[in-house]
Amino acid sequence: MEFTEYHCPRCDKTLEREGEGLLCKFCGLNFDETRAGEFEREREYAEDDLAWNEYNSAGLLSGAVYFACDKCETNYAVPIEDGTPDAQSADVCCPLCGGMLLSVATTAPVPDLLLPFNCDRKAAEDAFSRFCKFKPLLPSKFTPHKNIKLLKKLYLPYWTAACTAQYKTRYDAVKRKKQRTDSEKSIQTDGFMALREGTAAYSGLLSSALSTAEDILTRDFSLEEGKPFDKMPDAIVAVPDIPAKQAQKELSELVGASMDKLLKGTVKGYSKKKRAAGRLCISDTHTNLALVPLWIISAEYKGRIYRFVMNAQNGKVSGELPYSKLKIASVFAICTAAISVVGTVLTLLL
Amino acid sequence: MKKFISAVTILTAALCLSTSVSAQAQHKVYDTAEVLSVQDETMLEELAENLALSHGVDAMICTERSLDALPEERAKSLFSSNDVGIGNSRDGILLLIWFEDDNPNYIIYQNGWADKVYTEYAAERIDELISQDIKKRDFAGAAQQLLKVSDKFMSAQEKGNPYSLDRPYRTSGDILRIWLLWVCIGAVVSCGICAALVAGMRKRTTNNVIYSAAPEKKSFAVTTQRDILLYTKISNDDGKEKLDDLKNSR
Repeated sequence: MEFTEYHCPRCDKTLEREGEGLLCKFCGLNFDETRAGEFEREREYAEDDLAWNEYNSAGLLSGAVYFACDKCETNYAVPIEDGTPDAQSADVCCPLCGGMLLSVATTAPVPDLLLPFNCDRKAAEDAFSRFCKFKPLLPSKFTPHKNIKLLKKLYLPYWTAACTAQYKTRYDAVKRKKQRTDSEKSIQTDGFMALREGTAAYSGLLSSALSTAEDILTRDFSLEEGKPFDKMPDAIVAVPDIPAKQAQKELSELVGASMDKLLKGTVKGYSKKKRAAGRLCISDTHTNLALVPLWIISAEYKGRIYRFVMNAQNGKVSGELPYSKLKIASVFAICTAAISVVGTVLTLLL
Repeated sequence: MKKFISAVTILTAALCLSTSVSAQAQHKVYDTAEVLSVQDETMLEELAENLALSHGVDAMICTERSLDALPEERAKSLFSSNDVGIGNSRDGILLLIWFEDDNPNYIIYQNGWADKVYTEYAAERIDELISQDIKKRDFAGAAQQLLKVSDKFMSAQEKGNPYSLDRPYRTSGDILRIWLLWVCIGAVVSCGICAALVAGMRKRTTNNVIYSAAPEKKSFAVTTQRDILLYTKISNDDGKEKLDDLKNSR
């Protein structure tokens, strides 16, 4: 391939012909046409080729009635027991924000995978009590005993994916060598183009399918334990609102970052290296919708929602607790008074 | 013989009483320089009287416009001529304030048991305390300070636990400064404790793990790996190279 225009590998400015070679007037570097052509071929790559499969749901959820939260607008599918909505479930407020649930006419796709509830209510209650233990700044109104009543069983939707990734990338790398002659010191800089291409298979990729609960759980579920969805479970199911395409975009970025990290690790022996261009090709894709079990408490304190979440598959907990400014002030005052009195007395006595 | 002994005893007692009475009855403040008010003089007289009653040490405050002798000699002469001192060892202190070109100076003379109380440490500490008042021309304050601090030093000496470098004398101002220092230290430590408690409560938040994708085990393979040398540049140092670049760009 012949090029009409060549670019400097160091500064990307257009090279000018000088005699038989090419010169970068900015860097003062000379290139022969073969070498400049080699760089030109790798200078820019075509756009990523992300051949994600179109997600098609197996149908619509049956055996459920739908409610929407008037505050966070999350939709929920509530199981119908004995032909009527589960009175207890339908009566509850939004598990994510505590808002009121209102009946709505909507549908939800049938998920592909259902992860099991390995932790029961007792385990979740114990975990919450432990979570609140030894928290001296916890407001006295925010008692574990009172909030434990708000504990709810919930299924959160997650997009799961598997794919094969092929990544082609170019790194600009330099080696610097210090040289010393009798009269002066100099630095030799060798500029390289490190070309790498690699493939890898990914499975169990996870992306939230619900915008109002994107980061409430760390994504460390074991999908192997999942069972194919056959009927509406006995817990509230949050209806996904993030389309598969949006999740696939996020997963592409995660796969690209992972491949870049792996390939960058093979570029060794340079003083400096920088990713200059890259192209990700994704193929053999499978996208599924999975329901992840969790126990959740959403308690309001002074106008803010504090959540305690337990991954009901592996028992891991996370959450945030409020703290009382009055208690902080009291701790501060007591500590300051105690230290100042003890310190003064000791200074006077010793 | 018995009569003679009792007569001598009565005479001695009468003599002692008369000495004591004379020491107590005489004026304790001689303000020749006229720098003290009548109220100040009364107050200082009372303090000196209390010192005499509490510790048996006479005290005198003298002010003079100028001195015609060395300060030590003048203080000693005032001490003797005014018959200052109680008991055989003539225990007493004298504060002499005088002026040189309108600048106030002072000297403290002590005798007898008072001389034992005024150790090097005590002298330095008392000097520190009253020199401030003298500079501010608060002569009554300086004299008051001397009498009060002397009372404290004498009490400590009597209890057999005198003030020294190991057991420093501290005024209420010193104690306040120490307390304020400890309040500052306490506030800093308390801030740290509160921050640690709040951090402990926030430690297990939901966003502390960033999700990243990882390939299946042994599925990653590098299919192409080429490193091509494109250019070589030799420069004196980085700074010189940049300078050359700028010149070329113009």
